[in-house]
Amino acid sequence: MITAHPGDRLVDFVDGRLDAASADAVRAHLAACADCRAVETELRAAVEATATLRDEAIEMPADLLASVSRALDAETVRAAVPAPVARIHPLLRAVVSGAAVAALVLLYLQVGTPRPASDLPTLVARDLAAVGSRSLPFAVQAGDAATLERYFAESTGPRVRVIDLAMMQITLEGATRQTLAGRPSALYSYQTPSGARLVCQMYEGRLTDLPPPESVRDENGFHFQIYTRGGVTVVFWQEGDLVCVLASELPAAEVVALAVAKAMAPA
Amino acid sequence: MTDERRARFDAEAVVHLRAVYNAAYRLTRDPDRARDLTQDTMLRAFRAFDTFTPGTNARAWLLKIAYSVFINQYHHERRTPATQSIEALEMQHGFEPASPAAPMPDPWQPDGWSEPVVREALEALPEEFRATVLLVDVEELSYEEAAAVLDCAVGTVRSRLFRARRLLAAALRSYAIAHGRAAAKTEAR
Repeated sequence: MITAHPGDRLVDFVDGRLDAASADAVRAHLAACADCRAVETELRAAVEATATLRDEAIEMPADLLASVSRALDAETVRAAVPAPVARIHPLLRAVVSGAAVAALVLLYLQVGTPRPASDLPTLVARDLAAVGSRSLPFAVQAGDAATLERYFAESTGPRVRVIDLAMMQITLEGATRQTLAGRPSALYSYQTPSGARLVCQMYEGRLTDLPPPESVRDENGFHFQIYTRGGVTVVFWQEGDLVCVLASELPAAEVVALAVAKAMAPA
Repeated sequence: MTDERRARFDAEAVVHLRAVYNAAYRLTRDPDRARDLTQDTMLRAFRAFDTFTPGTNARAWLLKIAYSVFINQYHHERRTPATQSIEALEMQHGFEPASPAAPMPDPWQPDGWSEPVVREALEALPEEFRATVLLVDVEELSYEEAAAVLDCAVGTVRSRLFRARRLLAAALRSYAIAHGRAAAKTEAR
């Protein structure tokens, strides 16, 4: 008697992934079914053929290890040194050391200058809190980038790409469209395994619309402007016509590193 | 970041540099792009090293990053692989995906395929099917590890392997018929 064809379970059989009882059942089926035996032959032939690629002579560039090592060294140094406070007060920077400048500028930005109600970094930090308190609810809740991109594609506003950070164990949680200082903004949010939240927004605009940053970083051809607002690190960068911003209460270095990881040239 | 963190990264990740480069080369088939992809992968892995769970498969973790970078680059370079859909390929080889037990015209036992022939057959597959075969059959990841790399279900890995392997076998058989068994064997090592 021929039982139901095993179908794609045949690959489990060929790869030895079935338990003894299931493998016996497939074996019995194969004994009686010439069609499935032919498929089994194909599957084994393909495995045997592709195995030849494991022996392919691929020559790794001799200097690749040294080159990677240099890049990692540079990254180690860059991460250990506080981000430069360039482009803020060149005159001050000329006479005072970097650390003092950082402290002064921070003081200047956080205390000395009253921020306008439309201060974008402040608004982005507030949106992060609003997502956490659910006063800014998601229009769509999903953990996969495709669903969130579909939502953005089907709703009015700038079309945006949703970057999957699952490889860093940071999962997507939802998205919505809202208004950021009068600009239509696409917002989506991530959560880390520890429950920390990262909110990303994208809107049409220019970095030049932003107030002077507390620090900047240039990486992979992108210019990142970094702000701190009430314990929230807010990082802006430009992708084509869109300004992207990432906000989180995670340590500043982590937020900046994630912004760098997310930044992509516009398609 | 500290020297200690760097030393741990060297021990856990940099030791897999050759494996990452090989995978990058198999994906891109271009030494310069493979080099860039490897560099990018290692740097991103270093930045994200705090998220790596010690004791898990570091090579699979690096491959996940490499595939992710590769796919994103594909996406943003708008490079469309010159492949047909899996359904079109299945139709071309005369079998229906819905009835996987369709009979083969004749028994066929290939042996000793040369790398270029196999590579050509593999490169005709749509990207996600090719990637699945590369991860499982060449990089020797488990289905579960491949599913994590490709961000899909284990069942999807199984299904892609099933269809991709059958197509590979059919393509190799077509090659053998076109060139004659003798020709196919002549090219074998």
